[in-house]
Amino acid sequence: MSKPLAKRSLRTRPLLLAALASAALPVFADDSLSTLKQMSLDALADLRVSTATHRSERLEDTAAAIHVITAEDIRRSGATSLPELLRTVPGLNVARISATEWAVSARGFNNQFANKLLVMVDGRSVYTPFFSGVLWDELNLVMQDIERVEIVRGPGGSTWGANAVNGVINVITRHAEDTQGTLLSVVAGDLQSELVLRNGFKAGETGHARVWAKIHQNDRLARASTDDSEDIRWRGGRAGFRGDWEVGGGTLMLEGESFRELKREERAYSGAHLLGQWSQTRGEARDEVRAYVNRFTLDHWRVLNNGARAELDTFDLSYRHHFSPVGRHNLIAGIGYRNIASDAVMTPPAGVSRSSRTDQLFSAFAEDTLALAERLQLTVGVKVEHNEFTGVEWQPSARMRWTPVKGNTLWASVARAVRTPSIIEDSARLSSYIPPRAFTGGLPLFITSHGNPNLQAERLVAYEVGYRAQVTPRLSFDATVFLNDYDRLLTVDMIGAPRLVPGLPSPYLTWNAQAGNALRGTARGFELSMDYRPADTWRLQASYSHLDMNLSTEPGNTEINPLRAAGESPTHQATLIARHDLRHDLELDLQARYVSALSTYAIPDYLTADLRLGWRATSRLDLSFNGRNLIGPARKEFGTNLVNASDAYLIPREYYVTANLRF
Amino acid sequence: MARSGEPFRYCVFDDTLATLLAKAVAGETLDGRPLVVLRQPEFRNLQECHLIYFGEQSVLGPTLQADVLRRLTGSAILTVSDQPGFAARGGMITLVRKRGRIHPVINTDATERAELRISAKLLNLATLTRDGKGGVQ
Repeated sequence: MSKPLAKRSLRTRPLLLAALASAALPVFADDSLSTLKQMSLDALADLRVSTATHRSERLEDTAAAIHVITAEDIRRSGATSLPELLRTVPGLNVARISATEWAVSARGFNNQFANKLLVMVDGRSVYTPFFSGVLWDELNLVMQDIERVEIVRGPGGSTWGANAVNGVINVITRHAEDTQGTLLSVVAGDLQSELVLRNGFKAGETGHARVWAKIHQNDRLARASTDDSEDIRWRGGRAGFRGDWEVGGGTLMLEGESFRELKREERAYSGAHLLGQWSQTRGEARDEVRAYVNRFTLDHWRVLNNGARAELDTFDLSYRHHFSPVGRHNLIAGIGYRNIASDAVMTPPAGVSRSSRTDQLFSAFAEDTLALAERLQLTVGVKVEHNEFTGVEWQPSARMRWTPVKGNTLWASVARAVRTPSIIEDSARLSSYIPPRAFTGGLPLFITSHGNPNLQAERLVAYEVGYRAQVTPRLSFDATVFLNDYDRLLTVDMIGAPRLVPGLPSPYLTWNAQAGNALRGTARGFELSMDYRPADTWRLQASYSHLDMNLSTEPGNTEINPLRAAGESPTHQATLIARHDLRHDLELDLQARYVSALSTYAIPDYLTADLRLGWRATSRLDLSFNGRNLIGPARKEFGTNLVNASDAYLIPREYYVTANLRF
Repeated sequence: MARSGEPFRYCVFDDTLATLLAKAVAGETLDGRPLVVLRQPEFRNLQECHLIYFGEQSVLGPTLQADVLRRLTGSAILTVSDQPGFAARGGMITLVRKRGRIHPVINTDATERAELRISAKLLNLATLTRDGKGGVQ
């Protein structure tokens, strides 16, 4: 019989203090005690308490505009996909195009085929060299298995190499030891459903592993124009594993995945990857080797209404070494090799001139952090790459960090980054149709644009200044100002004049074009954010980002729409996140965002909000009730093509329930 | 249930830890109640405790500690330790070091017997075990 005791709720604070006393306190000096006491539980759990020196400095201390999303942030966001999670990151431009497609970029140049943001999962690049960009719908992650997402706004070329132009997103999945036991997770809503099953277990004496499977379905959305309401229903399934072992004084991680995503029963993505990573720390030195193979197939895919089928097989091997500090120097160096074998076929009249090809990428980088004074550090780095499109590319950076007072960091950087051409830009022939318009003289127009094997890499020189202040353990600010100076940006240059073809039933126009490098310009802006925990049960995060793009083509250039990019990213963006623990087992989360107008697609500005109510029903079962886009009617967030701006999908209000059962 | 104004009592079986914890909780309050640390509490006073911490260097032998835990069964008193396997031996929360970080392991059978409700945040962070079973996360 249970005793007639009143139920008590255990708040986290008593345990937090006990945890501090047991493990953390002996390691820390008295003056940091008050700081530790005010830390949140998840921050405390993330605190390293071993006395051994760890060379890996906290990401938050680096001289760059960095934002980290933790597993707890992910859980409370209610996000069921990565782009959705990125909506609240300061400085990122995220717009949903349709049920399946997203446009995501940092600091401008947003597009469905946004090509200046490098995205990696556990160090594996998911940036597609076929067309330069990320297929967000291919990247269908198990959200519960993400440990953190690190977002760097600004160039990362000196470390990560080409295509890390405007930003880098690195998704880090959870260590297998942290996903032990069985998880059954369900998402059920009016527009999406999902089922995840995961089992974690001990794998041998020194290791842990998990296996998982996920299936999902996303329903179609309606178009703004009523003539075609046919969006794509999207279904997919995937399964994978991850194992982590302590081997021979080092750690070994292996992971793999196989997937198939089906859209409207014919358009399909499929693929598989296998990745291994070994690292070893000896004293203050550290070695890391990573290798992966990745197969990716696009079937019945469409790029600007041209059908394509492509198969890409990637092999990637990289090694990096953190040297023991010598004097004031702290050096990291690495080398890398990537081989991409691809096979691409496009539906006529489109085509690819080199349908089968092998592209090799050789790279080497070095980065030295020099302690100029006790609170002043200079980091200089360079990555040199040789790629098959543009040959040798240098990507240097210099970053200075000054910490005048503990918890206050002022930093400045200048860096160069490049984006290398894609297979399509290099050697594809694309055809686009423009229906009769006034500017076409009432005739249909067919544009055939040709790839250009002599394209140069797009170039950026970026200047940034930032300031971060941890005012109290509960209050922090972050501000960044940037000036991005671009040249040799991609253009589609029209060749000669349109030609009249006396065809039947009516005459039409044809016009040839070729890819060029004639666009240049600047993007300027700033990003402000704040994180405040007024009480243990409250957290408030707010941000504002401003972007001002100024582009122009070289004199005499014939690109039809050179200023398109300037109207594809909002000038103003603001976000507000409020998280409140109503009770020990009830959580209320509000995420609101404002996005200013996108002139290219005639999309007006909007304000909307998401709500989540989380309920920990038992210690093994949690439920959440989510509403998305709760303010205003269904609206366009982005366009699908440039010719007909109204030809876009309406992103509606959406409701869903999630349940996670652990046993 | 503690009345408001009554102190929240940490009872600690470990001298070194008791000293550190006393320093940590000095001036702290929980819902307006002061936090106090009782070092090596008398057994007859254990029901007055809100949280009992069995340190790794506890002077209690394993038999005596097991006896104390048995006597506390069903009481709404949180038992915490950094001794390996504490949660499997009837304790509620073990603080373990996992890859250089402190990590809580919670025996949900033990907390449910005591009708203690644990915050969603902590449950998400912790490894959950049952009496004599492996953990899930």
